[in-house]
Amino acid sequence: MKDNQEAGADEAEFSVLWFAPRSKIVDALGTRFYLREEGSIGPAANRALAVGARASAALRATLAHPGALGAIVLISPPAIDRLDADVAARLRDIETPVLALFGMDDKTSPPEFGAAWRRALPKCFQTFVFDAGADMANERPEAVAAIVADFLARGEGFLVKTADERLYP
Amino acid sequence: MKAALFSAARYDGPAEDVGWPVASTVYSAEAARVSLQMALDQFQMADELGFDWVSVAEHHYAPFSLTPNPMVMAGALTQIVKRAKIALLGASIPINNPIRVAEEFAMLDTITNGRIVAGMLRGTPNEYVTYNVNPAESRARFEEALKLIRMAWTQTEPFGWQGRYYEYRSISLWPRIVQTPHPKIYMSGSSPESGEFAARNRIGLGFAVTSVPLARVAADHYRAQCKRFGHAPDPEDIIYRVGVHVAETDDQAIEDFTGAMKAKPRGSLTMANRALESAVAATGYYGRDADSQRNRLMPGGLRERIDEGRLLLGSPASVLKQIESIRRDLGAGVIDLTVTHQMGEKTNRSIELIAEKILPTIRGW
Repeated sequence: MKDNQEAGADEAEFSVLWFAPRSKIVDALGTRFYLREEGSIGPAANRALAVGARASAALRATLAHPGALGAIVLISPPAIDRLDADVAARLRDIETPVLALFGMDDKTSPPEFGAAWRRALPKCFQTFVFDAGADMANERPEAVAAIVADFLARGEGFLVKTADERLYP
Repeated sequence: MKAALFSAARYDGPAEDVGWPVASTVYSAEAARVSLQMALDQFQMADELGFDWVSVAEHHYAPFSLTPNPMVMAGALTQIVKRAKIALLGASIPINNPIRVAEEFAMLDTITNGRIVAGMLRGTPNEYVTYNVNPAESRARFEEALKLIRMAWTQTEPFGWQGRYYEYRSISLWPRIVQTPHPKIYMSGSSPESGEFAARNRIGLGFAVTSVPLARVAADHYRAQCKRFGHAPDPEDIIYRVGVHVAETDDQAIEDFTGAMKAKPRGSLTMANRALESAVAATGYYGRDADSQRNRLMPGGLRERIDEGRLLLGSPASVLKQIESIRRDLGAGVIDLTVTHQMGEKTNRSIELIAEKILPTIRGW
């Protein structure tokens, strides 16, 4: 993962299982998030992110360690009926809040997939990323990193805006 | 061909109608109430006499129009317009909260059981000052807001939106829209950019404050773009909005109209504040044929306006000929007939003449 993260494991607030390729959102996420590559699942991991078909791996991780992961982000996840069978059979058991991101222009994982995800998981949120396709993390890195960081940090609380928006003091 | 009656519900009372925005130091609440009531009465009359649509629009900060929120006017219309469609032509979506707009359309569509036409416009240039929005962002905000509204109407599970200009964590509309998949959408289409966007997204086009020759170029461009995107628009995909006054004879109509113009001169909304308009133009608001777009907003003489199809004025037979050329030259399937000068009984008579002598003929076109 990113070089600038090597010394960051102790400083980071969140330890994220990273089932995703390198992308422009890695830098944008900053040092609050320590990214653990796939395979390094351990007790210290408390968040997960997956891109595409690797959604099954992220969900399998939370099923294997119930309560360990506080939030999971799935970027462009597949149709829910294309998940690995062992994961698909246990979706109702997943208590972890899940955010599924779909690019409005994505033909492979279109926004139409989102409704089934919402119905299948106990705590699932869907968000559509405007003007983005299958590679949203590189196409609109600022927009994607902002919501990923917010959801990983706050889970279901991400629904409530906390930014100070006053124009002038 | 279908016919709509449009009124901006112009304020008919004392005012210092200079520039834009217009001060309300000299103002009569009673005149404003009567002006709005007269518009409501005329819309009701149009419905009873057989107009296919009644239409309202959004304009701010001037006696030119007393409907800054056309949704409120449309809400009132739902109680008196029982048959005709109610067309919002339209909501200025880049300066509003698009989800609020989607909700208001859904309420109106529910109350009317699916008789709403959803015009979504960028608004006139001056209106970017109204809610302090950068006009340079107008087109991009418009395109995003429109796609967001369409998603809000069609999704049944709550969803969030991560846009460039709009960000929502959770959206779920109640009431839902009645028409499936959603009401017919129109946008203003005088510029080449608008024609391309409308064609790509299968949206109808409305022309206003233009001439038949200019609109013809834009309509041809729209049809060519539709072909490029693999579909052919229906006549009803093109609306032409134009001022109208009909009387028993040509001479009477011209006398009525010129009298009203002298008694209550009406400035162009966009060009009422030239310094402001120039500042908006400098942001790139008008797009790639800016000169043409700005020229069409300039006021013209009466004869010139009639000849170019910028004003329908005359006897029923004369106005019918003008509408025939609009149908033929533009392929427009909806004519949005505008009350430009409120003349009370004379306007009422004009509406009656249109209903009796013009609508039966154009309905067959």
